[in-house]
Formats: sequence, structure tokens, C-alpha cells
Amino acid sequence: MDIFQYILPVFSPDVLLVIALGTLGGIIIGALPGLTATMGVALLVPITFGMDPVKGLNMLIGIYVGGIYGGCISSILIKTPGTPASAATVLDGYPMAMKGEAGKALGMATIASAIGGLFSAVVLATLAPQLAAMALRFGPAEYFSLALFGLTIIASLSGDIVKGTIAGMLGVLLSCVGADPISGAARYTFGYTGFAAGFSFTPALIGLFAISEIFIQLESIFEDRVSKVSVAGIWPSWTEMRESAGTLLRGSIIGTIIGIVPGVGSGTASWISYNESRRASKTPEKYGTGHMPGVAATESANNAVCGGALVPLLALGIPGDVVTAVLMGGLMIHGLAPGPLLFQEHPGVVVGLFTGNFIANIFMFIFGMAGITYFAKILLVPKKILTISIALFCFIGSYAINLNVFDLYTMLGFGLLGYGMQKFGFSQAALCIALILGPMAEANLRLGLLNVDNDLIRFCASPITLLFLALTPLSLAWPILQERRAKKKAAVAKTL
Amino acid sequence: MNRNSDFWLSLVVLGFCAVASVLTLDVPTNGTGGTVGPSFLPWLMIGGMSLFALILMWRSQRHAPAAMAPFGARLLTQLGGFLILMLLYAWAYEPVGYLISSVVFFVVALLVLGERRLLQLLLVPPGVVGSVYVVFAYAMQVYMP
Repeated sequence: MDIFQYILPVFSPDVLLVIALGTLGGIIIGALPGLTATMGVALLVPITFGMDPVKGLNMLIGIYVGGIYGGCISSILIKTPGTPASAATVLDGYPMAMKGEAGKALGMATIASAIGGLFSAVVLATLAPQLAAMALRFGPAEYFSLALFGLTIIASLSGDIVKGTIAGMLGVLLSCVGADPISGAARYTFGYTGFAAGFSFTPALIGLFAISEIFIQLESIFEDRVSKVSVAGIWPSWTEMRESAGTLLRGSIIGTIIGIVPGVGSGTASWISYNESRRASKTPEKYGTGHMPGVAATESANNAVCGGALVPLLALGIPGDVVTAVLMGGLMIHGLAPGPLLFQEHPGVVVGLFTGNFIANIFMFIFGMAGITYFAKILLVPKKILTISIALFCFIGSYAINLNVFDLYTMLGFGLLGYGMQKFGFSQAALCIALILGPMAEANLRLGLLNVDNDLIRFCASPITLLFLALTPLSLAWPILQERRAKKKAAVAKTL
Repeated sequence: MNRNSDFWLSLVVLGFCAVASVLTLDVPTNGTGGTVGPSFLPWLMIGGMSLFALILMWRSQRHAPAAMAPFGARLLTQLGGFLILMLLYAWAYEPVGYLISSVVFFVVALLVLGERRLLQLLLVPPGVVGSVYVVFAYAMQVYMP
């Protein structure tokens, strides 16, 4: 097969134009709180119907890639995650913006997103069928052990392990509100239908991070403590790039692998990558205070998920996350059945999509770097107007997800909770991770046990499950050991 | 915050666990054929939170928590006022519609935050609310009430 006969049509001006438009549209959608990449792709699927499959599907991939990246813009500038995938970017991105390094934070986020995206695009193009086979080995037990391992991140992220664990457990408990995922039994609904589906994730997230921050900002406005934030420089220095190099590679690998595993998603990937980066760092105490590798870790991972999630979709016909599930609809509209036969029957489409994914990441980098100066100007808006405008975006974004007023109350409730947690030293990140991973852990534990007649030995028998279960106590113990080592070092330094 | 802030926090967590326990009694214990039912995870979390709340309480008696900035009564009233404003906005959002409710919210919020310049109050809220409406409703095709 002459591969170039399939690659060259992607470089025609009309295909490049739709990829560019898709990516730019995705960035804007991702940056607006409440509008997710899924929503953007779903909105544009009908538009692509009349297009040639390679052109139409590449436009959707552009929106996907741009949408996941765009989420970091509002995360960094206004502490409002544009998409759930960029929630972890708030931790270091926003403190960097507050230190006057918004441009650099956005610059690193753009570079990291491009590196992660391009890495996974290369992996997708070279190893798709082989990697997809690995994803098939994930059953409920493997998903449960992965979620359990993910939950241990709470221990190292919370600073105060006792309060962090309480916050994490509260998050899992809150995720139980609504219909039970296995039996459908109502839990804590008080007979009110609004509670039946549980708390909607995006409004909860917006409340937890953005509304709580609005209250913090209000404090400073009421007490006349408003400080001017400057925006200077967009390119990280060579030293900063060198410092983040390992993190970028690690994040890209984690994101690609998690993307390949169906149903896990970019939110989980960015939290795990952040935690691993912090764990591997010689200065873990700097994380959460506006540390550039923190931004690199989350953004490289969440964009690497894009390419990874396309692996099981194209090779097996299994969508890797919600966005790729919608993309699958796009493929089917064009009469293409994703799966092994797609590679044999429509090699032009497959190679076209691989190439388009690569190009979308390059466009994302160009638009991202070119737009930073303009994005960052948002911080120069007077504090009172900016704070109220953020509140406005929070309301629109929370309502737009399900067109349900109940989501607005959910957002305000979580906002109040987040504010209280921030004031009393409880980790909001721990609660956020638990909201993501709690339902995944519970549903898969119960489903897995049902599959093996409640036999725990059979449940834990697979090598993947055993690996994650073995890593879980190590992951829990690591931050405690690190803390003790740091205390010992400090004591030795004091005596000298 | 005084030395015992964590002590009071642990009491709040324990109180929450007590309420959650009463509510969990209504959740079915057994699922479809499995020993792990719908109430398994909630009980596990309630138990865990109670345990860690007791650890927090014990710890608060041994080490003083880091000092926190106190809440003044005036600040608390101002924040409470803004929360009520947001609740009213949420309540009015659908029945009144985005445009009117948002402009009113914006103007009142600016007043609450101490803005008294007439030009700012007259021009900024409709400008911001209107441009956001155009972007979401027309460019993004998002339904606005």
C-alpha cells in the first residue's frame, strides 16, 4: 500500500481549512466553562454529514483536540475548569497566574498539550491494533483496581492526609446520591426527582473550584485588598523546559495508556499524571503553589488521551471516552463501521484520520501560542466586573449541560462546600478525584463480584488487577514516607 | 480560629456522619444477588469518615492547628448577602429568562461590591450580558432561557 496516496489528500487546502476551523472552534468551546469537547463534537456531527468522510471526521477530531486543550485557558486564568479534563490544571496554573505568570502558564500548557497530543498521535499511527488488544483485557476487576489506585492520589495531593481522606470519603459518599448503578435502588433522593440522576459532575466541579474562588475574591474586594495581576512572557525558559522534560514524557505516556483503556477519560489521566509527577519530583512541596511542571503534567496527559482514545475506537470499534463515543456516531453516519475491518476496507480513511489528528495538534499549538497574549488580557479586567462575569459564566455553563435549574443549585451547594473546605484546610482536589473515581470503583467492584459469584480470589486473579492492587498500598505509603524523610532532614539540618 | 478549630470540625464531621447513618438505613442492603449491596459503599465511607474525624479530634488535642484569618461579622454578612443574590439569580434564571435576570443580577452585584459610578452601572451589565448571549445563543447554538 502506498501510504502517501492516503496522506497527501489531507494536506489539500479544503481539508486543512476544516481541521483548522474545527481546532479553533474546539479551543473556544473548551475555554468556555460548561461547554465540553463532547458537546462541540455532538453539535457538529450533523454539519459534517455532507462532507467527504476524511474531511468531516477530521473536523470533528480538530474540535476534540482543541476542546480538550481549551479547557486549560479558563482553568489557569479564572480558576474555572473549562472542561473536567482540565480540573487538575487549576492546582498550579491558577497560582502561576496570580503570581503574574499567566502567559508562561498558558505557554507551558500549550506546549505540553501539543507534546502529549503529538506523542499519542504517533502511538496511534504506529501501534493502534496491538495496543487495542491490551484494552480488551480490562474487565470490571481491572477497572476497580485502577480506580482504587487512582483514589490513592488523594493521600499525596491533600497535604493534610487526615483532612484529605475525610474530603475524599465525603466525595465518594456524595457520588452515591441518586440511583444505584447496579440495582437502580434510590439512595439519598428524599423522593425528589432532581436527585435521581445524582449530582451532575460539571456543575459540581464549577461550584467546587469557581464559585468557591468567587467567594475568596469577594473577600478581597470587600476588604479592599485587590491586587493588580500582570501578564508577562509566554515562552518558558530552557531551564524550565528542561525541568519539565521528564514530566512531559511521563504525562504523554500516562495519557496515551489511560486513553486506550475504554471509559476512563482525560480527567483521570491528568490527576494520575499530576500525582506521578509530584511523586517523582525532588521538590514535591512546590506543587500546588504555581509550579510549572504541575501544569506540564496535567496538560500533556489530558491531550495525550485524545490519540489514545482513538486506538480502541478505530481498531476495535470501542469508544475510549464520551467524546469518542460521539465520534463513533460520526463514523457511522458516514457508513463506516469502526473495528478491525475498517483498516482493511477503508485504509484511506484510517490513514487520513491518523494524519488529521497529527495536523490538529499542530494547529492547536499554533492557535494556542498565538492567542495567549489575548487570552491573558482577561486578567486585566477590573476585579469587580471580572468576578461577576465569572459568576455569569458559571451559571450559563452549569445550566447548559442538562438545561436543568437543579444544576444551578448543585453548583451553588458545591461552591459553598468548596469555600468552607478551602477555609478549613480540606482539599477540594481530593473531593473532585473522589467524585470522578468513586462511581467507577463502586460499579466495577459490584459488577466484578457478581461475575465471579463473590469469590474475592477469582476477582483479584488477573495480573493487571494484581499489579494495581499491589501498587495501591505503595502509593498510599509513599507520601507518608516522604513526609517523614523531609521531617528527619529538617531535624538534622536544625542540629547542624 | 483558635487552637481547637480542628476539634469543632471533627464534631461537625461526626454530626454529619450521624445524619448520613440515619439516612443510609433507608438504602437497601442487598443488591441483585451479590453480597455487596447499594448501601455497602455509603456505610464504608461513613465508617471511614467517623474514624478519621476521631483521629482529627485526637490530633487537635495534641497539636494546635495553624492559625487562620478570622471571619468578621461584617464580612460574613456581605458574603451571605452575595450568596442570597446568587440564589435569587438561580431561582429567576429560567422563569424570568437569561437576559433580564442576568442584567439585574449584574447591576445589583456591582452595587453590593461598592460600585457607584453611574456609567459603569448602566453600560457594563447590558454590554457583558448581551455579548455573552450572542456568543452562546448564536455562535455556539446553546439554548438560553
